[in-house]
Amino acid sequence: MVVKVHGSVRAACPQRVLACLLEKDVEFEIFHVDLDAGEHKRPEFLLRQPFGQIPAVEDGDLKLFESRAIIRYYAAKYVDRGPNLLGNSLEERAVVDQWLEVEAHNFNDLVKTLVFQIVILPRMGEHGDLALAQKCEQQLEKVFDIYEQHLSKSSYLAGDSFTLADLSHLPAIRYLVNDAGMGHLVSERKHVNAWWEDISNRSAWKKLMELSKY
Amino acid sequence: MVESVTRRSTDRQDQKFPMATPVKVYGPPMSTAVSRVLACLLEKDVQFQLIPVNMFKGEHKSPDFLKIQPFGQVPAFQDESTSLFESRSICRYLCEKYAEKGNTGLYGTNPLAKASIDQWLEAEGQSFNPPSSVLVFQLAFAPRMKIKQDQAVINENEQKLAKVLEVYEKRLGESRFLAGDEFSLADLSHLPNTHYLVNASDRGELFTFKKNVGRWWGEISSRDSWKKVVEMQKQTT
Repeated sequence: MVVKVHGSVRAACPQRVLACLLEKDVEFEIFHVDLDAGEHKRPEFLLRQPFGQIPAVEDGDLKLFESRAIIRYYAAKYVDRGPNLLGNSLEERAVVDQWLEVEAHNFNDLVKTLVFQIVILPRMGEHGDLALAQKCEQQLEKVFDIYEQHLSKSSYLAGDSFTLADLSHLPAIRYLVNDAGMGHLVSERKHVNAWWEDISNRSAWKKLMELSKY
Repeated sequence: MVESVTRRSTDRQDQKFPMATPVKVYGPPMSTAVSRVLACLLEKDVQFQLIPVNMFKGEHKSPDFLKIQPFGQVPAFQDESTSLFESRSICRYLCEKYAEKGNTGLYGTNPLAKASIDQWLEAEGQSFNPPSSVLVFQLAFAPRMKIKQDQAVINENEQKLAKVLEVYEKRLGESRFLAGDEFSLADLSHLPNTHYLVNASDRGELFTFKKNVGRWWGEISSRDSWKKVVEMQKQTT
């Protein structure tokens, strides 16, 4: 069964799902949603995703939205295929989940706001709020300091193996490093840098970068 | 069942060696994230010990606390040798570890049910929590802390929350609870913020004036588990 992913291949949240499907070697088809044309706010799309956001997936009778819910589902469904993205015991799974929540609540909003102000708004021909962007950058420095300390004791966020917790960070850090000129947040930290080099060189992520045609 | 910090027993032996429970939650019950975990523990009928953290004195930023929660936030959690933080992951852990206890359907009993619950738990975390948290702080806590309210911030977040609740209104017209026909973690996760907005602010009508959301709130907030959490919150203020 081919998983239908509704969204834009260059947007962070669909990328989170696509990276997971690629890691798990699950066949998918991307149904592009034209954000510039406001397709995600039209009634037909709102039937798929009532908050008007991407991605939304369709897999036979299953319809699901929220990228982190989607990756939890597929990582569990295909736990025996490819790399184990969940951890080997109940306790390990809980730690994976914990860092997935950290990404969702302590990391993602800061990156989203910063990228919106210094990348998206200028692209739309508007002025971003530089003071707000700077505030986000300062807060991200503190978050990355915590990651640096943590990754000095552990190769990946949840332990010795790459898991959903690391995967979930890929799209946002790509934005920071490649689009927002914020690479120093990563490169100035020895262990964060090594971790980023490792996870962004995984073949699944590289495949996604090819698909995205940056 | 709750192991309260104040012991009623007068037995000296008991006072010297309080019964140790493996499950420990660190943080004040008035914290929305802490109360999310407490509600889950009570739904699952898991005994726990609540260890106070004085946030007004900055205990959550002390070196000792940062060892168990490096972001300096509450709650922190321990279950024997397992240490966790982030309230929603603690809740998922409790449901998996104590699957056979208390409310056994809280996190679904099959992968599809679980996926739906995770979807709405994420919607709570990503769409509901940000604006409602800001409003909880501005409307319920800022006055108590003698911090000046920011009307522009209140208006902006009220509008955002109203849009989210429109989605909920439609959903709850099709489904008794957010993820399906049964109360789940997805509904539970909304209890803390909604409780403050309905009971400690003048914006409760955002919820209560909507037919389906109002019905849903009435149902989920009258669960025994939530009533006990509210009692715990009252006892510590």
